[in-house]
Order: sequence, then C-alpha cells, then structure tokens
Amino acid sequence: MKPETTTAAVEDAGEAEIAIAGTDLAHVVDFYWLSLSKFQNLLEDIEGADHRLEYLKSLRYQFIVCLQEMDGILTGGVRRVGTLHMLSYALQMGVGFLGMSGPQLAAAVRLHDELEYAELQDCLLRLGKTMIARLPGAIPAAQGGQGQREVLRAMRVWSAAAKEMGEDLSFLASRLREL
Amino acid sequence: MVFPEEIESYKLGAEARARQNTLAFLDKYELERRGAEEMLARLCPLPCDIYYVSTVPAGLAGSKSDLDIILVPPESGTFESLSSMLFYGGRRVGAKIIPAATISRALEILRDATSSALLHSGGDAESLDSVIPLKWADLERLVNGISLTRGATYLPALNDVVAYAVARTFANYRQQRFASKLAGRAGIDAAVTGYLTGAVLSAMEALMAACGRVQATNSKWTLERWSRFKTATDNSGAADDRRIISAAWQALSLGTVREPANWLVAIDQLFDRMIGAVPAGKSHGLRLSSKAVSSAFLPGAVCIKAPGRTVVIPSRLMEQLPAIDGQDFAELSTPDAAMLLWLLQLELIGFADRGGSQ
Repeated sequence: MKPETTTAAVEDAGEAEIAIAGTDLAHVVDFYWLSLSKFQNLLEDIEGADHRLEYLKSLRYQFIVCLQEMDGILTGGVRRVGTLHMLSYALQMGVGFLGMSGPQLAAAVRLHDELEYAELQDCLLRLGKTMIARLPGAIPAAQGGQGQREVLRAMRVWSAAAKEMGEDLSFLASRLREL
Repeated sequence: MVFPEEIESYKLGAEARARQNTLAFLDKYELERRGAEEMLARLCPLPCDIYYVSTVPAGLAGSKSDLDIILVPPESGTFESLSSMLFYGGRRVGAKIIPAATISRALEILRDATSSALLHSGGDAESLDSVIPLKWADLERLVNGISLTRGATYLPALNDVVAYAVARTFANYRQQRFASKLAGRAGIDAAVTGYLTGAVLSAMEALMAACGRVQATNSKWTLERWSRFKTATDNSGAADDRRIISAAWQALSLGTVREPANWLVAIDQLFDRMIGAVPAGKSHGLRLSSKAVSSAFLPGAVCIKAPGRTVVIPSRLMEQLPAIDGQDFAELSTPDAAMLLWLLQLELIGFADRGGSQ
C-alpha cells in the first residue's frame, strides 16, 4: 500500500510568497492565528525534540494534521473535516493553500522513509519555516514575552481591519485565552 | 478489560518516579523550586497545594517544554482563568486553579461509573464527559501529577481513570477502523493509510492505559511513550498484545500490508478481549450527524445542512444509511462508499451503534 510519492512538485514550489484567500476576513485571521500559535508551537517542539526519534515521528503526524486544520479553516465548509479525519483527509486531498496533493505532502514530510533523527528534524523544520516564510507578512511566534507582544499588536491591527470591513472577530478573545 | 497486575506494578513505583522526574527536571534546567513555588502560590487567592503535572512528572519534558501546574485550594470558590503569559526562569508556565472539592466530586462520579459498569460496554466515555465537572485532560494530569509536599495525592484513583481511558481510546479505535474499511471500499489508499495509522496509535494508547500508563491529551507523545513501554513480565497477556501492536505498527510504517491483514484482525481480537466483543446487533453503522438536518431537495435528491456546509446527495444513499453494516460494506458500490466517506469526514453523517443509540 506504499503510496507513490514525488518530491519534484514540492521542490518546484520554491520559496515564493503565496496569496492567502478565505471566504471572509474571520477565516483568514483564524488561519493566521493557527500559523502563529499552533504551528509555531509545533516547530518549537520539533526544534526541542532532544534527539527523541519516536517523539519526532509523532510530531510529523501533528505537522500534517495542523496543515490540514489550517487548510480547512481557510477554505471553510467543504474541506473542514472532523478531528478524527484530519490525518487521512490530508493524505488523501493534500493541502490546498500550499498547492500540494496528498502524495506530495507525504513525500514532503518523508512519511514513508526511514530517517535518522537529524534528517527528519531538518526536513520538518525546513518545510515548516519555508511555509511560514511564504505567507505574506512577518508572522510572530506566540512563545516568549516578545512574541506575545507582537501577537497582541497583530490582534489590534486585525481588529481595526475588521471594523473597517464590517466583520466580527470576537472569537479571537477566546483564542487568546486558550493560547 | 484491563491488566490489574500491570496497573498495581506500575502504581508501586509511580509516586517515586514522578517525584524523581520532577526534581531532575528542575535541577537540569536550573529552575529553583522554592522560587517557582512562591511565584505559583501567589497566583491563587487562597492557600493551595501545587501539583506538577503533564510531561514533567512523566519524565517526558525537554528543553522547550512548558512547566505545567495545577493549583489546588482546599476551599471551593470561583476562580478566574490565569494568564497564558506566565514565565518562570525563561520557561513558559501553564497554570490553572482547581478546587479540591471539584476534584473529589469528579472522582466520585467516575468511581460510580466504573463500579456500575457504565464504562465496560466500550463506548460510553463521551456521555461521562458531560457529567464530570473536570476536563478529562485535567483528571489525568492530577492522577499522574505530584505535589512535592503532599505526594501523589490522586494516584489511588488511577484504576477508575484507566477504565475511562480505555473506553475513550477504544471508541476512537473503533471509529478509525470503521473509516479505514469504508475508505478501503472506496478505493482511496491514502485515506486507508491515514485511518489505520490512527487506529494503531489508538490501540497503543488503549493497551498502555490498560496497563496503567494513561495520558490524556496529546498524541504527540504516543510513539515516544510506546517506545518506553515495558510490561512487568515478558510472558503476560499484555506482553503478547504489545508485540501484536508493535508488529502492526512496523508493518504499517513499511507500507507493505494491504487491508484486511492478519495483524489488523489480531488487533480487533485484542480489543474483543479487552473490551468484550461488540454485542450482536450493535456493530457500528452510520446515521445523520446530530449537528445536521436533512430535507427533500428534488425528486431523487436530498439536502443536508450542518454549520458551515450544505450538500445535496442522491436520496437513495440517505435511505440506505440505517442498513449499512460497518463490517465490510459489501453492499456499497465504490462511488457510494467514497461519497459516504466524504460525508463522514465533513461530519454531516456520524457513527451509530446499529440497534442502539449514540
């Protein structure tokens, strides 16, 4: 059952910035919120995996699930699947905002390869940091005092944008509490 | 359902391990205990006990881990959520306050549930979530947590928490297995791989829980914990089950096995032994999700709406739902199986026990 995979498309994706499109501002902001909180936390976990390969392998699944969650939030209804299904759906459908198919995603995270710790860590960090770099804007990491100040600054800017655009971002208050 | 001798063996050393792991962590990362506990105590408006919980007492915490704490005041009260921006020694602190009375009440409800065999039917854990006044994750953290002054106060409740954990992981396993079979019928190999991965990870969690090693929240630790998981003896039933699941994981990682494979059948049998076989007429089926409503749309078409999504599907598929048997889906065509899988993924339809309610 080993899926056919290719790394070519992933390499072709390069490091060019990508546009982020959602059905409304709330979806886009929620996408960015996941990027600066859950996804950055995950990258921090990967960096601090302390040479534990099995832990890193579990983080690889979390990495896939997080990308799917971000994709689902951005695209709303018909790609937003239940928690139970996120891993399978991502392997099946890929990640829309990265233009990556399921097999390309599996190849990008080297899902079916036996890797040494350092190789896997490097693979996931490179992929994650490249993705963050490709998103428009400087994305703060929510960890640490400095990062959290930047997050609060971003929230103020988003609130102003929501006011101008007549949208409601009140959900961010609960996100901040959960941070 | 569980392995009592494994649980007792694990409990014997649990408090000493949690204490040793916590002190080693504080020492390794140069976090001064007295200073930390003085700062933490000030977070609670009442005198409280300080419990180190999660990865620190479990011995899993690393250089980037948070210091997770539960503050337990003996008196009841309403406490505001603590700031999520707490740091000590440059390390993030995740702290919350839970009164002792709330914990006692939660453990009491759980004890009643386990003694009345509510949890032994293999799937009623979710109904408990709504009546226990504590989040499942906090319950597990307290039972595995340690106060360096009071000790592992809540460890005696481990057996009840084990029953809860096994029921939860079994429910997850069963749903992932169901979905893997449906994806197999739909011919979507990538999804089969994903669901089987989820199923085997759930099986690992279930067996570890059945041996007393309960962890609630984060599946990111499952493989690391599994690699450290050793049964008390090498020739017990638990040791045999551990070997079966490890073999399944190895085969899945190599991506060489097509479903249904012998090892999956073996895991199904393992769960039958742990939980008891699913009663006749109670195999999983499908039903309209509780979040969704359906309505006639056109002759031969029905509309299903749930928050954030609306789809139109052939009405014959909806009519077929109650009769679908999750054992092999032989009655479904490949396109129908693919459509049902998609509806399941979107949570427009959900799992149901045939002949029962869920």
